[in-house]
Amino acid sequence: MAFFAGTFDCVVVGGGHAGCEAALAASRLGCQTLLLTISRDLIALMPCNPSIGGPAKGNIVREIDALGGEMGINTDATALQAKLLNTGKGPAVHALRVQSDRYQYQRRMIRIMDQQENLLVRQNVAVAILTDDAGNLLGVETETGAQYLSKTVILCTGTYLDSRIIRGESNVPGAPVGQMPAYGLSDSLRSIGFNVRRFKTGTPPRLHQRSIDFSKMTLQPGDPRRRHFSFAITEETRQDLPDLPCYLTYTNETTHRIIRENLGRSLFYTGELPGIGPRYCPSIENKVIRFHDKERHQLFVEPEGLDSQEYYFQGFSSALPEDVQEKFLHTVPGMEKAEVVRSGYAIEYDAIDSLVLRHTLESKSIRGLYFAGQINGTSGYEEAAAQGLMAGINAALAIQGKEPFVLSRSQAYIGVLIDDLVVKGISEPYRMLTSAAEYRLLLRQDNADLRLSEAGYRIGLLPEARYRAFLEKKAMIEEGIKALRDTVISPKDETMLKTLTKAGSVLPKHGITLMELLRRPELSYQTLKALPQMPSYPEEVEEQLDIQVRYEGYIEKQEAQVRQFNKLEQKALPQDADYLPIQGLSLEAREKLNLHRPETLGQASRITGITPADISVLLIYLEQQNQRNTKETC
Amino acid sequence: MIETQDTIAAIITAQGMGAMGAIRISGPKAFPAAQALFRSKKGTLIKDMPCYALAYGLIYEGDVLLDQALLLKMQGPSSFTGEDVAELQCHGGPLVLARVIQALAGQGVRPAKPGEFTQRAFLNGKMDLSQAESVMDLVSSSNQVMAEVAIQQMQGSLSDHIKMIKNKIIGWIASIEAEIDFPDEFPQALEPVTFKTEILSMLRQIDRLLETAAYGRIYREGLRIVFYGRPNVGKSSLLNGLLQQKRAIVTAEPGTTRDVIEERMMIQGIPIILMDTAGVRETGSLAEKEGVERAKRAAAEADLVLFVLDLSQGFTQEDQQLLHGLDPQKTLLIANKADLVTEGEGSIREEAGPFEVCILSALEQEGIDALIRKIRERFEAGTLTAGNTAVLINRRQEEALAQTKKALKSACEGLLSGVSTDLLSIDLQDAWSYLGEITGETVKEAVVSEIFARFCLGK
Ligand SMILES: Nc1nc2c(ncn2[C@@H]2O[C@H](COP(=O)(O)OP(=O)(O)OP(=O)(O)O)[C@@H](O)[C@H]2O)c(=O)[nH]1
Ligand SMILES: [Mg+2]
Repeated sequence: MAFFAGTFDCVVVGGGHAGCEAALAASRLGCQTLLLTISRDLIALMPCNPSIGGPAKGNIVREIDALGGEMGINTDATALQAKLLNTGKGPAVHALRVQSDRYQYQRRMIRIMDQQENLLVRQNVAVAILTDDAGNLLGVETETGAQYLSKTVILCTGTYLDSRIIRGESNVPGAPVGQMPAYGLSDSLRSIGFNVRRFKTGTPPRLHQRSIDFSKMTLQPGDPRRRHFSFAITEETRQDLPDLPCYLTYTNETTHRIIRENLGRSLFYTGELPGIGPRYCPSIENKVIRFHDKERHQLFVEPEGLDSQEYYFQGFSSALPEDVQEKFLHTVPGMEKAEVVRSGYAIEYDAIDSLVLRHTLESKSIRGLYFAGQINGTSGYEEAAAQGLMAGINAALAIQGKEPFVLSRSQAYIGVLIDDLVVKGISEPYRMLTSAAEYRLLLRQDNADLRLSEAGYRIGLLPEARYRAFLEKKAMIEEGIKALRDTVISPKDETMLKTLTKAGSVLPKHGITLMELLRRPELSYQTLKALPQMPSYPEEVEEQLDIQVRYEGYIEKQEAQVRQFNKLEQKALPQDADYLPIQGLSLEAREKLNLHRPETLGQASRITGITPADISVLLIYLEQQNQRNTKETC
Repeated sequence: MIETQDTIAAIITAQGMGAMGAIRISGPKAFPAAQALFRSKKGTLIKDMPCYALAYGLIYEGDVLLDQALLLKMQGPSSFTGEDVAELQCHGGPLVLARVIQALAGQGVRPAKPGEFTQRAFLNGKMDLSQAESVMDLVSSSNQVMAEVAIQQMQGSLSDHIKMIKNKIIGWIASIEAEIDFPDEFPQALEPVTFKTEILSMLRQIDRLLETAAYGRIYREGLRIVFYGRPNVGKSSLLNGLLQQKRAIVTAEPGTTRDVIEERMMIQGIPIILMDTAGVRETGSLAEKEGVERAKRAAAEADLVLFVLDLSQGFTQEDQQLLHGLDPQKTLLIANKADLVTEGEGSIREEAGPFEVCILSALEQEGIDALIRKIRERFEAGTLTAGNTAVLINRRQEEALAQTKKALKSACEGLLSGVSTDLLSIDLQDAWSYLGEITGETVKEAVVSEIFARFCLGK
């Protein structure tokens, strides 16, 4: 029998990376928040690799941090190893990746949540969305019959909805780390008008440390210097890392042959399961088929935790039968005698079509109902956390009657991610890629605080102390730029001549400013620090000065691109327009426009199936509307 | 709302050229309207004909037989405009064609406005905006529906050219992106040395295209042909001969023409601006002096100078002096008044040296056709140099291509100074986007509104 169990401002369903950020954001913004989770012991579980960040994803983590989210700090506090990737390339693609202790990560997150005012994390399984006869949101009901009334509900159900685990011919109900799937919610969603579809993802086997021959692999140490996701370094995150190393090994022809010979035993290849999987995080069998001319594939062996004997085998995700997995696993150098402690599997789960959402992640059809994370079709912890944060913020803002908070594609990777979800729509699990961002030189990982701290503070998530630290940093950067511009070095300056000669740089005939010197490709802030005139600042300030001066030309070009982009972005489309009778539009465009109702011309241009010609026609249409309107008012 | 279309018709072959004349009927009532006039020899009805089928038959207005004709049926959307289209290829001259258009009006078919087929083609997605724009450029300059037809093929090849370059650039961008997101799978995307060679070769390609901008202007504004020479040699007579009308005053007195007289016409689909000028000589008259100055300026700015001399007087000293400053590539030497001489034609060709000679009589209208042929040859030789079939049609395209060039140059310089590829992609993005402006794949509001204004859709 159902019973009334309480009233909240916000109920978050699911305690994964999206749910945690959503619940923390909402409660920190003053909402009475309830988080329902299948297991309190598995809050913020990393069911796949124990690492956070990497290209694009690392930028997202820093953006979450700048806005006042938890993921960055939680990763820093539980880090085993940190590494800045792509340092050989431009600053736009530098990417931080951190290996975290999976168990510590969970423990710390539940502690933070339990200590959070206004937030209750309760173990219970939500089975239904409650609505009144008119379809208005009332709250949620759990499997125990508890009915929680709430102004807002954020669904962050990850891979748990009606999930099934597949290994070879074995296809059974199941959820990560031996949990139960969540039943009921999918049907409930269908009954209130949502289309539910099946997505899949996978994970590789975990191996026992004692059985791995690391001597046959390449050592992959972290950076010697301690690196952080969070812009705030605290007591908790200051100390040195244990630096548990990772290792690199490769597949070979034999591995590939065994995989090919056994494809017939994968339900996905025999065509029995349609499951749409992530193209950019493919199973090993998928890689062997798609890149059939590649002789070998890279594999990383990563520790799961300080107290754990388990190693994660990155790049080796597989849905082949257990016996086959072991067979080809043993062909990999160093893995000849590897003992499997958990085998790889594919997991199939229910997701909604993210096109039914607004940019706030609220459903277009039901006020107060938000969706975040894998239920929207994304893959990855970082993508999930970002959506959770944005949904939590917007739920709180809506309750408080404030303007929604939406990030644009030129402001943040989070903006790109959500815009892709709700405007473009996705047909397979979505992973954040650097290439999805048009303006990545502006969306660097190093300047996430400069881009978003102001917003984080204004919303009320970024604590006062952190905001003040940010303002100080900003002031130092401005001061530094001025110093560089105003300091002229004499052409006879001994140190300067020595430094330039050493760097193979042309010697100036006249006085030259520090800024002009810094612009030279062969020089950097570091090399120029040999000059006593060079201003000295904390490392992250010097890094900003270096990037802002050296890449000024490219940054300006990108800013010009953004201005161009904004022109269409600011062109509003009438929300009551009927596109069907517009002659010039393709049939597909008319249908899509009527269905998705983009708010601006820019959004319309990103809908798949809408061509530039359609956009030209829309421009003409808008012009006609304008002329008509002015005529009427005259 | 962009309105539902009525049915329109127009003559689509150039006026007065050739034996055949074609009429295009486009719109929802194209087939019934054509059917009301057209009776197939075999008795086939248009509605029963397959798309792209031809039928032979007779055209009647009521019971009056107007002409014999071939009817080509094109079912929307598989037609130029994307609507139902019937094209009638008639045998009769301009008068017959005009009567057919009149007869169609009786069926509720309205004469097409200049550029209207193109406008429909664009709105029905049969043509991209830049193609439509180019056609509009031509239409508004020469006011001939014929121009629409002439331009299609040319514009298509420009688009193809640009798309080829664009694809190459998008390939580079894709490699760079792949390298950034998957450094393990795609190590070094662009090898600097090959990349540089490829950018340089692309820059050369773009330069060749930019060179065609001058011809684009000719297509747009017309080929500027200037009559030039001593007084009384027959320049004005020749102008009148080409125009088939007595436009300029002709007298036996030297120094008749004073001002520059400008007239437009089409010669075999080529828009032409004819300019008659004052005969060049030393003179005391202030007005004539100014006329001579203007004549010299016009000759200097011409795409083609028709240098006229009086064959009955031979190749005079003054003729030779005047001719001296002209470029043989841009000049035709017209030996006029051939009716007055019976022999001695050969020597003028020798004396002309590098200048091509055209012997004719403006009075007797003898050799005018040959002159027209030569003008056409010159035009084609000029526009189609070095296998360049793609031509930049307007200033906007020229500007966009110049910007593309700038962006690619910057990418090249970046490459040489060791900038990493992910930064180069910013320049490549710019280049790609500018090229898109030419093909219409980059939508810029300013461009669309400008073209929109010319379509006059607001009315
Ligand atoms: N016999 C003969 N007379 C010609 C011919 N062409 C022109 N004329 C005559 O030559 C005279 C001058 O002709 P225009 O056409 O006025 O000569 P123009 O070169 O324009 O003279 P200006 O305007 O004074 O420079 C007129 O009397 C014409 O009839 C020709 O081909 N044969
Ligand atoms: Mg004259």
